[in-house]
Amino acid sequence: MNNVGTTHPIKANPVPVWDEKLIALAREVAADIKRVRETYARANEITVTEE
Amino acid sequence: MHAQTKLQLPKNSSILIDTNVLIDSAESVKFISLYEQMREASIGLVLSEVVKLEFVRGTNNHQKALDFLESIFKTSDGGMTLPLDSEVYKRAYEIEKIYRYQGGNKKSGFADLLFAAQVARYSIPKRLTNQSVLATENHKDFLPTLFDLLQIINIRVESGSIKTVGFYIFNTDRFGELL
Repeated sequence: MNNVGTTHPIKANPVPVWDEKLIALAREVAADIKRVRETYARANEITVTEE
Repeated sequence: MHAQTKLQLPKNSSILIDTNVLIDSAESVKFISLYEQMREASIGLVLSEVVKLEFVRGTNNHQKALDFLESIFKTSDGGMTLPLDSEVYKRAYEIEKIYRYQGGNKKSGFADLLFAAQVARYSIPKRLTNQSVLATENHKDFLPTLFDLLQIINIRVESGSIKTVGFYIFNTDRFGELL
């Protein structure tokens, strides 16, 4: 056997049910990600303009 | 339901979800069908330290992002977060070298390299069950030299874009040959 990988399977958890609470949390996180992307995009535009 | 084919992966596999899949999961309820399919296939989920950092640093509210990851991976309830141990770094050097020679001097992103090394570290040689399966929308940074594509699931999101999630398994035999 090649000396790669592991002999122990990793401990996984069951896949969650996406209930209303998780969907609402996902929406908040998605909105946050969008804000961060927009902020970075604006910052990069300003940098380019200044150069 | 927009996932076009039924998910069929090695029995009792653990899926390591890449950051891009997590981001799209947060952004589109269409991705819920993917999780339903994984649940029906009795597949478990595992979080990577690399993915956790990459996901959280893309947000302002880190606690909310961590809560989201906790809701999916249940790491406080016995779910494992794959660490960055010395074996992972060792694999990263080896994978980088193989990519350099087999992938036409291809340079993968730093986070992708570490994530690939984690998949390698936790893959079991010559096993058809209990495998570690990588789920990603980034198909270029996990080269066919080392990653075998098991299945593709297409998900059409609200914008009309079609997101393609690939499920990959690390080829430990080929990796051993190329070392």
